[in-house]
Amino acid sequence: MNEYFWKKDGIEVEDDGSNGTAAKGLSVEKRVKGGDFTGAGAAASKIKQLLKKLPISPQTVRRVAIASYEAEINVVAHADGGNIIAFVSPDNVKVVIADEGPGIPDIEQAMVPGYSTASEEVREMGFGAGLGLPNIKNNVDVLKITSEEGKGTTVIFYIFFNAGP
Amino acid sequence: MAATIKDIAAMLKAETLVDHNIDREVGCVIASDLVSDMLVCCDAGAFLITGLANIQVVRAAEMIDLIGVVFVRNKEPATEVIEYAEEMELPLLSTDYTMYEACGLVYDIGLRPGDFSTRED
Repeated sequence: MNEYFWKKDGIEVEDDGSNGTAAKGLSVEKRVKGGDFTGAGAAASKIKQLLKKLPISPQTVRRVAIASYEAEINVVAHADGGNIIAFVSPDNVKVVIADEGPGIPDIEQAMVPGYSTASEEVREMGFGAGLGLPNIKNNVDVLKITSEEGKGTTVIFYIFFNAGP
Repeated sequence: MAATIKDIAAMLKAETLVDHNIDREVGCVIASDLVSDMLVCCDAGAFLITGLANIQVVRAAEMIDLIGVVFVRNKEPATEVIEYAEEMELPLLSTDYTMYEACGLVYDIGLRPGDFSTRED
């Protein structure tokens, strides 16, 4: 099992591993199909639509949307499929993206801007520049990645409503 | 005086594919064929010049709050792309000019690039 953890300075987060913290109507769950570049982005779009209805700044909504979309594209580009779940709490949004993919053998390397293992098809769609994971990190406050080769990758991130730009 | 999407359409002799919100003022402009690049732009309200005409351009536009898109070299997006842009009320233009020419012409009417500086750790 490969693991990566990063958090912005000054951010305290306790992840008890449970996902049941969101009140009714404050979560989004969506299945993502691997290789489906037409449907890709539908989950991130749903998350953005939910956040836009809440008293959250447009800049924060934009950060959540970008990070969710990048993570969703990763599932479409690399995995057979996966699930995206977003939970809104009073002071943060937590997004969990769990895929059934090949796993990431070296996460530190995958975090380097420009490093990519994307196929030609993925590149033709305008992706695969090796900027996905670095851009997720740029937009979130806490990022946790766990990956097992041959099984899949789980990306979890938090964005706090009163932190960041 | 700030330029609107309508002004850009006139400058680029562009065909308007989706005409919602074309009177909106353009804050800044980005140009890329890579969605990955577009997503790094820090400014909401940017206008995009691109040669990429698939559905993911409209998805990316939705995520980063683009205010409009022009496709260069008369790229024809598929019907589903236009329909999704209609739904998002995202103005779409198509011009005969190349990427390089389109960028030059739009720069010439005073529009400047979006911010691509990454957030500090």
